[in-house]
Amino acid sequence: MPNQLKASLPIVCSAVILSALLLITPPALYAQEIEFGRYGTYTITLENISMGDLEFDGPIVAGGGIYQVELIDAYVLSLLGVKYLDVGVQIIGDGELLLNGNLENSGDPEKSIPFTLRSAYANRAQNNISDAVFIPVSGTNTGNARFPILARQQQPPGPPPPPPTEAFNQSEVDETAYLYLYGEINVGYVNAGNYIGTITITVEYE
Amino acid sequence: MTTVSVSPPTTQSNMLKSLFAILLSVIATTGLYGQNGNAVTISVNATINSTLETITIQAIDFDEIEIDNSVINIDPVMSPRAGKLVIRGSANAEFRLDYLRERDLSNTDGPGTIAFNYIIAGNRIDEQDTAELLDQDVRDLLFNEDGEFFIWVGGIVNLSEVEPGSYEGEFTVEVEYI
Repeated sequence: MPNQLKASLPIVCSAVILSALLLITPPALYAQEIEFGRYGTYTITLENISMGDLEFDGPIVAGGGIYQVELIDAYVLSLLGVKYLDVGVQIIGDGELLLNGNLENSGDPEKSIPFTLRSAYANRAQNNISDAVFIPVSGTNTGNARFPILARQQQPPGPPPPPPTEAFNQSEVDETAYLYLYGEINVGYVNAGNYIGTITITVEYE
Repeated sequence: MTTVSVSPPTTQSNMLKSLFAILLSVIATTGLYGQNGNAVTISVNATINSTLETITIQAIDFDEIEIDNSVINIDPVMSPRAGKLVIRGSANAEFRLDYLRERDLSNTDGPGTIAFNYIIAGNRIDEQDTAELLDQDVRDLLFNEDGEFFIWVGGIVNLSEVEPGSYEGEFTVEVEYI
């Protein structure tokens, strides 16, 4: 009996230390995932494919109500990165377009137009809206999504990627995903002129 | 004869390995964070057009007009008798102009009508003699920098088989943004 006590004591001590460490460990360690993208020097490139701006085409007249840019006419961005890594996308759009982009016009019903942002992504290696997956956008025109650059197509995940060493050539494992931005404006009895807002898109590996 | 015995790892050694792995993870989290990201900002634009207005500056002037073989001809480019309109909208915006080429004028003193064939000319500047004849029923045009477009209205009417009287009619032009 004393021998059994001696044998089990180190195990109990280790368990106590382990429990204490778990309590002070950052919450990320509880998640059952390994974010390989965070530990490498992988690059990710976000570029505009569409030219110019997200434009609500005319003719638009004061009091005209809802005008839309449909998904088929969406502003398109490409997202070039390592195909087997997940990316986090954050999209933040202005809630209103302002006459001449002047911030002093915010909230002025004659000089501002409510803007509802919509967005989607396609990650099947083609710029094809039939592959588009809608990104939920909140009432404050903020949207977040996380997806692999290349959809895993219902296969089990592969082995962990090799770490990016000097011999690593990222272009061999790069693929392109696509982001689509569109939406609608609700035009009240506003002054004639140019109404401007912005959308900021941020991407990073997750 | 040498015997080598290999014993299975104990529960205790497994625990220590796990502990070591967790410690390594903590170090990795704090020391090797190498994330790459990218951000793009795009503009959203909408151009709201001004309300369209058509303002009559001058009606067609028939007073004491010369009649040539029962035909009255008012040249919209050359005649000072031509009517004049100004259409107002958004600066440099494109619009479509549509008008009825032939309209009947009604006798206000009795029965009878006259078929009046309108001829119009337009210009982005307020200058009649350089105006372009708009000889199609529908034309796509541009407002000038001040959001104006000028129209002169003339036409031809044959009075050979017309009852005496006073005749009135309208010239209708439709304008819309395109």
